[in-house]
Amino acid sequence: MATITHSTLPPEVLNHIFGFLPSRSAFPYMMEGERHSLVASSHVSRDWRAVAVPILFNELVIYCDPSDNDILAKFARFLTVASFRAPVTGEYAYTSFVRTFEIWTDSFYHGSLPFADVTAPIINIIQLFSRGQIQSMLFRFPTKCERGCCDILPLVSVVTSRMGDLRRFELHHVNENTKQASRLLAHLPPSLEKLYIEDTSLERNSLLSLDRLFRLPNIRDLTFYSLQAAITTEQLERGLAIWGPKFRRLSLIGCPALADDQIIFALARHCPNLTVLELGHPFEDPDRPVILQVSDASMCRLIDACVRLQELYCGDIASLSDAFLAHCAAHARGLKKLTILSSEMTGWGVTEVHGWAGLEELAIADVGSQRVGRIDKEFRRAVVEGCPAMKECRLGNELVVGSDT
Amino acid sequence: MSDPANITLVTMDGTTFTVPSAYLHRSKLVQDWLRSEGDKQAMEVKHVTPFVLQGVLNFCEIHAEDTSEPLADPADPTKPFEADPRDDAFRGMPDDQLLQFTMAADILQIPELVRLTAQEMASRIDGKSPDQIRAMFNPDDLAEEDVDSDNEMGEVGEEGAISK
Repeated sequence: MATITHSTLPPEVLNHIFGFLPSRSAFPYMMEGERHSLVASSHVSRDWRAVAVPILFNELVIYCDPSDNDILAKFARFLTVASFRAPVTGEYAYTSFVRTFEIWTDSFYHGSLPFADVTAPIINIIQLFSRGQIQSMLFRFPTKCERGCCDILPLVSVVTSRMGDLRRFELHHVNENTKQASRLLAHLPPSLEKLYIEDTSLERNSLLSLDRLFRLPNIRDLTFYSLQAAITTEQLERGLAIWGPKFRRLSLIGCPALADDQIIFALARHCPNLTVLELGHPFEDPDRPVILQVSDASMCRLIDACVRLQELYCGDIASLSDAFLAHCAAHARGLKKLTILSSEMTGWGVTEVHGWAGLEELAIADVGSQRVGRIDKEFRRAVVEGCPAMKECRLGNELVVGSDT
Repeated sequence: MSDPANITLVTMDGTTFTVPSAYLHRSKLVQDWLRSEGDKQAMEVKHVTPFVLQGVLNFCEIHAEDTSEPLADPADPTKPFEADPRDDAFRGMPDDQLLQFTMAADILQIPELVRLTAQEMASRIDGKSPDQIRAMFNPDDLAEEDVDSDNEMGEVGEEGAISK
């Protein structure tokens, strides 16, 4: 009788099994060696190795730390040798499996090392990728060396040469690196669907060039975090008109110049499938300027037009009032998570919450105030009694539904 | 023609199991067979032993009235895995039986059972050396040269681990 034999565990089942193992990127995996389950699994048999290696190298994250430069250089040599030997020996060209590539640099302080020695291993690794191979890339700019001798251009140049088929791109810590960031942004490919740009310098970044972004056809997910006046509302509005029904997510936290009725009306007009909108200030911003350019009228229009909206964050937008909250509670039927940071809203007069039948998380908080009892009692009662899906609700400074633990 | 309310499964050694068809509504293989060859007397389940098929049918009976959406992908990261106490018997079985059930779940295309057994196999693999994994599940031998090629990086790892 034929029975299952040990040699027939098919690749798709191994794929499921390995999918349940703790997930890490290839560089830390290799540092841990067989102490890591997926590396150990890749050494079990030829069949297991054929499934484990592509998973191991699907995501390659490089943490650039000059104190580990020798290790990184050795890792780069290991990958290079494997790539050149693979066509001859039939072994694995590990870098051919990489689809997600991230470079994290807290600092490029390089001690006595020449700066080029710090970036050389990373450049060597990137050059092993084929041009259309990488689908997701993250690049975190370094804080500039105090000696001012860091030339990041060679690294940026090789990164731009591998952006041909990108779908997701994240640019962190742009800060004083606007020139090189603009160089990267000028190479965004038409395939791009998701873009994240973060700048924590709190300085105006008028030099950052995003012209190309607003001509790309497939953007679905856009995050500008703390970008100060690098773009105009007119540019973003033109982009939203191009992206239209494909567009799903917009996050403009810490970008007060873009929190504007013009953008909200453009979303309502062009982007009916929007699922996430975040705008205003982050919770942790202590010196936030007052935002007054977003009206109740535009936000009510957005609620009516974007019926798939699931998450909405409004961070300290002083021009929003209980009139918007009332409309949202009655009409935002797809909403699952609503966060409003406001010192103005109390919920006064908001008792019809039937639009929130699917709402799972609600927070109406004023982090600048410790006042208790600010939230209207009738609103509080309506939320508690009229939102059957609610898992966590915080009104004012009180946890009304859910647990802190 | 067979009774449409029941289905008969035959293992390769000729052992038959007749169960309500509803038990196997999550098996894509069975559903496809019912659509294309449901007028036949019995469905052959090759490569599955009577012991393992009985266990699979027990799982299907336990979950026959579950109302959750069928799982499209056993490894779907958006569907968190929550242990179900009714499945404790599957988590407690010896390694070789677990492997057989994993295979059978794949053959019968029951995503919920694939996920259960794959998750249990992963939890047993986690933290084990290659030798220990071979002893547990006994796959084909690995060529030495494959191991050596990335043991070079294992030596690097001794100098210091980097974590995210």
